[in-house]
Amino acid sequence: MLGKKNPNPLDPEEELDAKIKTSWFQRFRFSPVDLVGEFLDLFSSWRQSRRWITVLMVLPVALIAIIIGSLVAVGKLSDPNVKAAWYADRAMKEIELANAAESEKDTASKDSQGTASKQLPEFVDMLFRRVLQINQNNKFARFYVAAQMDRYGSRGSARQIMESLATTKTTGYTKAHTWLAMDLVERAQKGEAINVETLKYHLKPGTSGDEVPPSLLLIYSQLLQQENKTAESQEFLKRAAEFEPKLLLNAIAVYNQNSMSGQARTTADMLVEKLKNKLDENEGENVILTSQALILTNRIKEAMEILQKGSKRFPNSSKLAREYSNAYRMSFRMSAVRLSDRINVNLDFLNAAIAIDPTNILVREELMLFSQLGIGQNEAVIDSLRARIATTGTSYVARLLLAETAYAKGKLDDAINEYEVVLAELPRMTLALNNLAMMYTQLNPPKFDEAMKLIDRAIEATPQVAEFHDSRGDILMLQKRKEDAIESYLLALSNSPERVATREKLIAVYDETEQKEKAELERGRLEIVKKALEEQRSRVEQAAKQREQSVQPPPPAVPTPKEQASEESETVSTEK
Amino acid sequence: MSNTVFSEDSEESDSKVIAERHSAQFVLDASAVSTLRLWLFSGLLLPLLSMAPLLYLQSRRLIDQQANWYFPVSIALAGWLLHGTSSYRPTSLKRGRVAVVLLWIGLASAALGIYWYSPWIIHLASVVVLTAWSLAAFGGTSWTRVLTICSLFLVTVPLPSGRDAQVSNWLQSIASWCCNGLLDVIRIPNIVEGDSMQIAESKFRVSVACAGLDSVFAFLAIGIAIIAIRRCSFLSGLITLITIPFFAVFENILRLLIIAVGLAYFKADPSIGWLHIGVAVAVFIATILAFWLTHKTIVAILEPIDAETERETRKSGVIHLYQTITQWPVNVEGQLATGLSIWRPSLVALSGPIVICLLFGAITFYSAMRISDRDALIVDFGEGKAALMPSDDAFPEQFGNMKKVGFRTITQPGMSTQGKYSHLWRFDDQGNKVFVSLDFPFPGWQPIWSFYQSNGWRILEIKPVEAPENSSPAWTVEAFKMQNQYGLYGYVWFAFFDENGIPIDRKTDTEQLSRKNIFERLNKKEMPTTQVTYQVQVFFESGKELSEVEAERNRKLFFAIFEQVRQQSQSAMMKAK
Repeated sequence: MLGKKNPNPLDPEEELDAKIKTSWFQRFRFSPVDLVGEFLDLFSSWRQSRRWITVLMVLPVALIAIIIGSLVAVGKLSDPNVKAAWYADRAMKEIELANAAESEKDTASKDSQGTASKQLPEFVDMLFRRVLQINQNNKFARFYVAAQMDRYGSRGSARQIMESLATTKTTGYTKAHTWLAMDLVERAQKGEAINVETLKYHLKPGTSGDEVPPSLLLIYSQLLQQENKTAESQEFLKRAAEFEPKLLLNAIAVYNQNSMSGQARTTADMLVEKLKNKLDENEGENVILTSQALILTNRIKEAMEILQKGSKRFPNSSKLAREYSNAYRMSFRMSAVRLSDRINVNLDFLNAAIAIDPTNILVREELMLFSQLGIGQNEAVIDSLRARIATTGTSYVARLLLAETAYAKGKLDDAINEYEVVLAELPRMTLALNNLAMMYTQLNPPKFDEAMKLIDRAIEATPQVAEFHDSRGDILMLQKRKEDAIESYLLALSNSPERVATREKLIAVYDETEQKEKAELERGRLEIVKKALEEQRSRVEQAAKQREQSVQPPPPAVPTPKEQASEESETVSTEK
Repeated sequence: MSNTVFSEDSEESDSKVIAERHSAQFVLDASAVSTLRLWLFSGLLLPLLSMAPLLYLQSRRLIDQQANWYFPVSIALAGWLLHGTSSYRPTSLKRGRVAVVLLWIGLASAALGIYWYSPWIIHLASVVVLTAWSLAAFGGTSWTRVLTICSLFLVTVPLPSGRDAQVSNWLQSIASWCCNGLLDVIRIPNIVEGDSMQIAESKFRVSVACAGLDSVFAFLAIGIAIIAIRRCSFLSGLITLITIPFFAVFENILRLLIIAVGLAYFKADPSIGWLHIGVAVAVFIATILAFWLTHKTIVAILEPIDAETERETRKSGVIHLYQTITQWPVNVEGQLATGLSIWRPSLVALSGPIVICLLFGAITFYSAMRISDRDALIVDFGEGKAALMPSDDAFPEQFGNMKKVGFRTITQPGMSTQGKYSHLWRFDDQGNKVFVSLDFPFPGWQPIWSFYQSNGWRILEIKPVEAPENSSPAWTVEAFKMQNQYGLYGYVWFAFFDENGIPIDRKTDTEQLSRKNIFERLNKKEMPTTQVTYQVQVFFESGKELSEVEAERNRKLFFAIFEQVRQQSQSAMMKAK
């Protein structure tokens, strides 16, 4: 034992009994040395009498608790900046992965136009929220959290957070400026009044970043152009074209409107150069863009060559066919040469336009030109058209003109005959289908069933053309199928809300069927449309006046002499 | 005072003691039997019967909450320990008197409970009565053991004013805080926002994920049961009980960790469904095992020094003190009274409690017939009725400047502080989110900000709002402003209406109801006439603080929404009737 030894040793049993008889307090030794000795005794006895196996059984639990506790401590005491950086890195990697997956998806999906908004996974949102939780001043994370809020429908809240990142007083986070500029543009597009100065303020820093939407670059370029900062404007235009070459067409159109033909041509060349080696890509879209740039800068022949090659490469592209057809229409118009007593035009161009795209309703504009020139009244011209059909075997234009002339003279059967011949060769020629359908309704007795079949064929070929729905409505009205007619008129108006005649017909049917409320509603809409058209007309007239007053020389509207010469040499026939 | 010797098999020695106490050597005389019977009737059965109607209300309140699963287990265990392992013997005079004093305290509490018509006070009073009865009925068992066993009844009493839920939530928040740090270290991206936790793309509520078997109070009951069964010393028992919050947190950390690993690496979601139940059971068993091992270790560390060593060192005062502390109260024997020292209460002596219990019984049973459940703040609401309440078509696609963008219903598994049913409309108010929620059923007016606080919002300001002019009777609308960690502001407006569609005034509802005594309730003086209340809350989200003008606009919008929901609900309730 470690206790202090008694100097007068007695019988140990007696001593113990004597001790036991005293209380524990009396037995307490207050001498520090004795006390230490007693504690050491206690420890020794305690150690000897323990069941250590039982104590050791808790070791696994203790070990798990220590490991968990240590990990928690490390996690909580680690540098917040390091932790935030790790989360931000992880978020960026996830964004890269999401972008890569999206690009693959875009490549796989042929219909994708690349306009789908980037939907970041919720996981990325969580990572940025965590960054923000660790460090609330992290602008990067604040921006992404706000952007995510926008995606979840909290545009207002997102805007307010973005404004705190990029106030209008001091230049802030670039991405936030970009977002705010885009937001202003979208609000303006929705008809909301915005402050252009605020837009310019956000555009300046907002367009300095790497990930700027091309449309925003274009808008800034146009705003700079308005301030006569042409060089800067061009710079932004080039940047926009890097991402979206199509946007350069808008720029060319703006240059043309402002009689800046030089800039227009330079921009067009930029676009042509950019797409030169990519004409086989994008389902003919690049061919269309290139040809449009050339057409806008009066280089029809070059455009036709590209379109011709493109049509061979993409024979099933309806958009390309329409573009090619329109190019021929333009060639036809440009082939017009005014002589002293007559105007020479090359009908082959128009025939080609119809043959390439029989569904091109715009051909009607050229045909109307003939009517305006009074071809129907000129027997010599009619004879020459007939002669042309006799010599060449076929001429769609000639037949369509003869049909129109016959109809004007009341020779319905002759007109029907001409249209039927055209349709035998071009069954999808929507203009002929429409006109013939309307003529069938004028026969005695009317052939409504045949008319419906024809107009349905026209609608099937081009469902978006309001004119055909309108014609269908007219046929149904003649059959007294008023509810069906209303449906057709409504379809026509859904495609072209500005059609005054169709709306008037609709009002009339509503009145006839005593649908007064709907009729009133349409009357109100008609007034709005008429007013808008009137305003548009006055704006156009005003703009025309301004152009007349402009000191700038007009752009070269006709091809160069060399081009003219080569075109004339290829002209097969010229008719009065 | 005996010097109990602890050996390797202390449990074996315990069972020997129990066997001895139950042996046929001790034969109760007829007088002792009648004493015990009289005490059983007047000290237990009659008081409990007199409180039965309010105890029934209390059990209805508690039955809906999953966390209270251990209540019946606790009561059954206490019953078994008292009857199965203790000696049903008359007690000493001194202990008998203490028991009678305790019985009077219990009855006084019951009187208070009946006066305020409070099932909770009655619950507490019944535990005091049970303890008083046990003390005098189990004379062969030490008073310390009787109190230990009776504490199993005490753990069934929930803390007042929802403090028990607050304690559980606090421990859960510690668990999620710890898990957050732990997951950061093992590189599992995670975020904790109030009660919500997100791992990968899955979001779950910590309170739901950690719900089920565990509750710090369930652990407490298990701890007390272990202490009572193992008859360990007070010091060991106390330290065992102190470790309970740690194990409650430990268990929640383990559950959250398993959920996180499941979501991050195995694309499995153990926060819901059968997997959740499986994980809950497995983790609960593992935690109980760890707790058991820890308890065994504590006992092993704090057990007295064995007899042989002790004899050597008995002369030391320090060792003797250690022995005394580590043996108490195991060394306290039951007072097996004999002869004149036996407590023998007469019917006359117990007539006071008997008369009072009869009076209480008459009052409580009469009140039970006269006072509705609503007066005891208990609501009953069927699912069929909930389906009739306003749904998606309650609002047009365009409501003022707001565009409706969604509708959904939420049903909570048990009664919830947010209402069992929620009908939620989502609007877009010029780019800002607006949520309209009709929550029901509630027993009256009650605050709702704790829900937002548990979702990571910090309450900045709470203020009452003036109800529209000419509204009679007056009703209460409250609004509060909050901000979250991303700097977003949230503005919530809420008000209640009753089953007749009448908006509720806070002052004349719950608060006042809880202050009404039984006589006022019986007189139906200014008592609410309805069973259930409905809450309409509108949440406006904003990236900036609202100006006075904007706040006024929201105020008007809230009243328009409240009116719309109230009218629609009124017609639905008419249909239900």
